[in-house]
Amino acid sequence: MEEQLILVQEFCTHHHIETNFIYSLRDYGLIDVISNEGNEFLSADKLNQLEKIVRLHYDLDVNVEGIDVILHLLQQLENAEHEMHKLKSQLKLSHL
Amino acid sequence: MEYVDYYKILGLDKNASTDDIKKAYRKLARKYHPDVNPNNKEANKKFQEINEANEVLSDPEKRKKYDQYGKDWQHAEQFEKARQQQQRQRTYSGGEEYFGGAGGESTFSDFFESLFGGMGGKSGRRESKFRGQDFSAELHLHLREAYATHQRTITLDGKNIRITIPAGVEDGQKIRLKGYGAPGVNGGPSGDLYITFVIQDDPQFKRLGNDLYTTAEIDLYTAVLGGEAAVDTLSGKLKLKVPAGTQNDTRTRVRGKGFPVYKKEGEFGDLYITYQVRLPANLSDKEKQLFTELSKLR
Repeated sequence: MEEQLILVQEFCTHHHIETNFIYSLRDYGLIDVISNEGNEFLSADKLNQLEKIVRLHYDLDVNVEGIDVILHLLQQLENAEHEMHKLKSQLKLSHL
Repeated sequence: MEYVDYYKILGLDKNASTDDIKKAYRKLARKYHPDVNPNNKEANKKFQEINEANEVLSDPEKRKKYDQYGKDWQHAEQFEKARQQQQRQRTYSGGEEYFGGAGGESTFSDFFESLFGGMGGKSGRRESKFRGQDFSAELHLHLREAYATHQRTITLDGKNIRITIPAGVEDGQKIRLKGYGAPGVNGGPSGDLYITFVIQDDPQFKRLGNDLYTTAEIDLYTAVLGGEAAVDTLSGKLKLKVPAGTQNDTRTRVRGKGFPVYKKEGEFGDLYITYQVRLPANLSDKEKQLFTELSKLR
């Protein structure tokens, strides 16, 4: 299936943010920017994550380094919840 | 409707400066923002409260009105109605910032609505278009329903949404339906609908990942001498060879008879069967005699 792409400029206009912010996220390795025929795009599949980053930065004043830490911790939290869920299922098995 | 103490919510006193309000709001927002508290309804509620407090206290006009009428808001409402009729002008317009979170309820309290009418507008980065709120919903499925791909119609705010549930969906798994959240404000995009699957336990089968676990009873003679056992699976009955000398609680694995692997057609986990040996009850005199003879042989 073809990947749906959004122009960086379009995303920034919609959210009233500077394109530089997007490029700083890319330089930090938090997002991917796709170049094609002189234009730069974002993957539509990653928009949710990017919008979360935008809110963390603009609504909560968290800098890029802080965002990186938060995203890592959220991922760890999700993994831990998944693991806990799995272990709960295993515990249920012991009643078999 | 209860009086809401916005100063208390932000941990401030009435003489707080604009800067104090901003700092207190930022600090609490970092703690309770839905993006850093996924699936935490309490934090989401708290965030709405501090957001509402900030909406009022950071706007000099609203703060003045709140300070003047806050404790006696019911009179303020009457007073404002009369004033608005005289002046024939609208007080506030504009949209609401998106802050994520679950549910389709209003972001602001009844108290706020009563005192300030509609939602408060705020100038800033995203004043023209706002994405609608995301909604969260749970969809309960029986384990056997999750075994096969099927379609299901769910109703949200009176709207029917038909979704296809792929076989092998897991308990706690979340899917996103783009655009099925709250409508956007001022032409902004709609939010998304997140559906979390809750898979209900089955009395006969337990699931762990893609593997299934069940028990099967065999009689003493089959356990001792070997034979066949008919075992239920989610795709029908299965005949298994039971080796002679099978002990109680022996577990055997049948490859590919477990749960379907999510979005991998034709792939299945394994089925684990624990044999439970059923001892004969109500023995006849003859049986007792034969068992006694047997016991003497050992």
